[in-house]
Amino acid sequence: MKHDISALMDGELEQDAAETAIARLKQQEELRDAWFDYHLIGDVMRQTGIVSADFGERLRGKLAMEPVVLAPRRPLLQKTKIAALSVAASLAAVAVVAWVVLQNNTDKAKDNLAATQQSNAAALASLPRYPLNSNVNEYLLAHQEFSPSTTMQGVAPYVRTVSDGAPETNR
Amino acid sequence: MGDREIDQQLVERAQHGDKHAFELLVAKYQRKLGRLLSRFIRDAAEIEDVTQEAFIKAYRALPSFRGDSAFYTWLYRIGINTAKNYLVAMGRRAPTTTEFDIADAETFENGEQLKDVNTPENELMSKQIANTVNQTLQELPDELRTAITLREIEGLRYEDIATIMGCPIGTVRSRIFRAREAIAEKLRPMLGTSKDKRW
Amino acid sequence: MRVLLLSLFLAWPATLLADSPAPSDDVLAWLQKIASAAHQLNYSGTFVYQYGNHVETSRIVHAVDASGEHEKLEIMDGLPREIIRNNDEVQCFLPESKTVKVEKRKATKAFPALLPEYLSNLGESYVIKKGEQERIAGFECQALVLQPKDGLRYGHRFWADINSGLLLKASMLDEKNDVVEQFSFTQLNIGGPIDEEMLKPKYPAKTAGWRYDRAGQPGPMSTETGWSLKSPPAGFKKIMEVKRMISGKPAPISHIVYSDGLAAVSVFIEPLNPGAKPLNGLSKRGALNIYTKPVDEYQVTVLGEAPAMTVMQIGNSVYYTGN
Repeated sequence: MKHDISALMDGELEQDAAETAIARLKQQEELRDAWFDYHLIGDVMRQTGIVSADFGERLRGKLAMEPVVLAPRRPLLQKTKIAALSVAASLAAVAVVAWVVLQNNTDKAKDNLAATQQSNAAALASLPRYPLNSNVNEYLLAHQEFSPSTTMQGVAPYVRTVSDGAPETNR
Repeated sequence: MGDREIDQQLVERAQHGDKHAFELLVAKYQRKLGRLLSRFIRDAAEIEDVTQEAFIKAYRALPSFRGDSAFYTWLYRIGINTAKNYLVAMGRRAPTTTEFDIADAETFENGEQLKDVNTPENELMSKQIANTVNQTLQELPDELRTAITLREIEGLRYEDIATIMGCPIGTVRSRIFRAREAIAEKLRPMLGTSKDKRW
Repeated sequence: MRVLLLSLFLAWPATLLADSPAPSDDVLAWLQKIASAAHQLNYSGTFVYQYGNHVETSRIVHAVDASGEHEKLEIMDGLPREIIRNNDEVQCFLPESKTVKVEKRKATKAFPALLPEYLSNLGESYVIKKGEQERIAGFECQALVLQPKDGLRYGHRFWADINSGLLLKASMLDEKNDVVEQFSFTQLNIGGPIDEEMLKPKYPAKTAGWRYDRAGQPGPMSTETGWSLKSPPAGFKKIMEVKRMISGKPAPISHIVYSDGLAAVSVFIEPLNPGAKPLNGLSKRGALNIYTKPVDEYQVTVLGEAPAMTVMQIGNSVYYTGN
C-alpha cells in the first residue's frame, strides 16, 4: 500500500511491516512510482535541485549492461528491536500550526519565478517558500538588540532582516 | 525500521542480485548526489554524467560495502572521488578533500562553490515542478501542510510531530501520506507514466 | 562609554575565575573577549552569510571614537540594503520602498546580553569546549565549541582571532550536526583609523525624500507587561521585559526576551486589529524561526535563533497573568 511506502521512507514502519513493504516495492510498479514521487517532493521542498527527466532511464540503460553483482554470503544483519511507538497524549490548547499565505502588500508584482541576480545561485527558481510577515523587520530589529549574537558580532547579524514588504525568497 | 536500516536492506537485496533495489536507492539519492557534485563541477550536463558514473561505480563496488558506514556516506565518497578523477582527467584542478567534511557536504553547501545545476531544459521543468509542489502545498488543508513540512523540512520524527500537533501518531502518518499523495497526483502528468520515464 | 567598556572587561575575570578555573571558564573568557572586540575595535571587512542554499555577501565597518560607537552593514547581494548604527540608534535603509526604518535601542548597559550572570548559565544548556586553532581569512583563530545538551537550542561554533578576539567565523548547528547558518569573514582589516565616509549611507535618503519610519517617542516605558510563560523551555530565562513602541505600529506592544545565554527568543504581544484575520503560522529563515498565534484578542509573535520546536513551545505557553 502506498501509505506504507510513505511511512517506510521516513523510517517509521516496524520491522516486519518494513520488510513486507520493501518486498512489495520490488513487485508493484505503482509502489515504486510512489517511492520515486515522494522522494522527489521532499527534495523539491528542500530545494535540493532536480535531474533531467531521462536521468533514470539513462542510468537504467547503463545498469542493464552491468553484470549483476553478487556479494559473498554474509550473516544477516542483526534485527534491531523497534521500541513500541508511543502515542502522544493529546495536549489541551495546542494550536494546530496552520500556514497562512500572507498578502504581499507592496504595489509591485513580484515575479516569483525570476532568477536571482547571482549567477552562482542555487538551482531552483526562487519561490516564496514560507512567506514572512511584512512586519518581520520591525520585530527583528527589536529582537536583535537583545540577542547575544549582536553582542558578539556587532551589526553583522542584522543581515537577517528581510527587505520590507516582499515575501522572503529563497535563492 | 530506521532510515539507515532501510538503505541497508535495499543494499543487501542489490548485493544479492536485485537491481531494482539499487534503482530505489538511485531514486532516493540522485538529486542529493547531484547537488554534492555540483560543488566540484560547473556544467550541468557534466554533473549528470559524473553522477551517473558515480552510481555505476557504486553498483560495481557493492560487494565490498559492508555496512560499517551509512550507505549514503559511502556513496558520497565514491561520488567525490569520481568527480575529482573526472576533473583531473579534464586537466582541471580538483579541490582537496580536506576542505570538506563529508557530514557537512551532504546538506550544507559552501557558498563560493554553488553552481547552477540546471541545463536550460531543466530550468523550465524545475520551475514547473517547484511551482506545482509549492502551489499544491499552499492549497492543502492546514494540518496536512504542517505535517509534511515538519517532516520534510524540520526532519522531525512522527512522535515529535504528534506532540507538536497534538494528535496521535497514526494521524501524523496519515496526514503526511495524504499530503504526499495530493502533491504526487499533480506531478504525475508532468513526469510521465511509470512505463516510459521512471523505471 | 569607552571607560565603561574597559572596566566591564577588566572586572569580569575576577568574578568568574575566582575559583579554580575549569576549562569551560577559559571558553567563557574567550566569549567575553569576542564581545569586547566587537565593540571596542576598529575593523572593516567582507563576510559571507549562508543558510541552506542561500548565500549573501556583506561589507561591515566598525569604529569607535570620541562620539561613541559607529558601524555600518552593507548587504551586497539579492535586494541590497544598508544598516547603520550610531550608538543607540539603528537605521535600516530599504531602497525597494525608499524607506528608512529607525529603531532606538532601549538597553542602557553596554553588553545587555552577555553579562557574567548569563554566561555562567551557559553550562546548564551547553557542553563547552575549546577546539583547534585554524587559519581564517589570514588570521590565526581559536575554535570554541558549544554543544547543546538538548534539542531546544542550536549548537554553536566560534572562531576568534587569537590576538584581538574578533570573531572571524560563527556557525550554528542542528541536532544532526548540519550547519543551519554560518557567518564567515573572507577579508578583514583590524585596527587603524576608519574613514568616516565608510560609515555614511550610500542612499541620499534625506535629500531624495525617503520615508522615515520611527517608533513613537520612547518615553518611560513599563517593564511589566502582564504576560508570562506557563513553562519556559529548559535553560531559558527571562532577560528583558518591556512595553514599548515599535516602528510601524501605532500602539505600544509587549516585548519579552528569553535567553539561555547564547540563544535569544523574543515574544511580542499586541492587540489584534479588530476585523483583521489573526495570523497563525511558522516561518523559518536560517537559524531564525518565527511563530505566530492568536491568544484571545491578542496576536503573539515569537521569534529567535532557536529550533522551531522551542519557538513553538514558547508561543504555546504564553498567557496573561492578569496584572
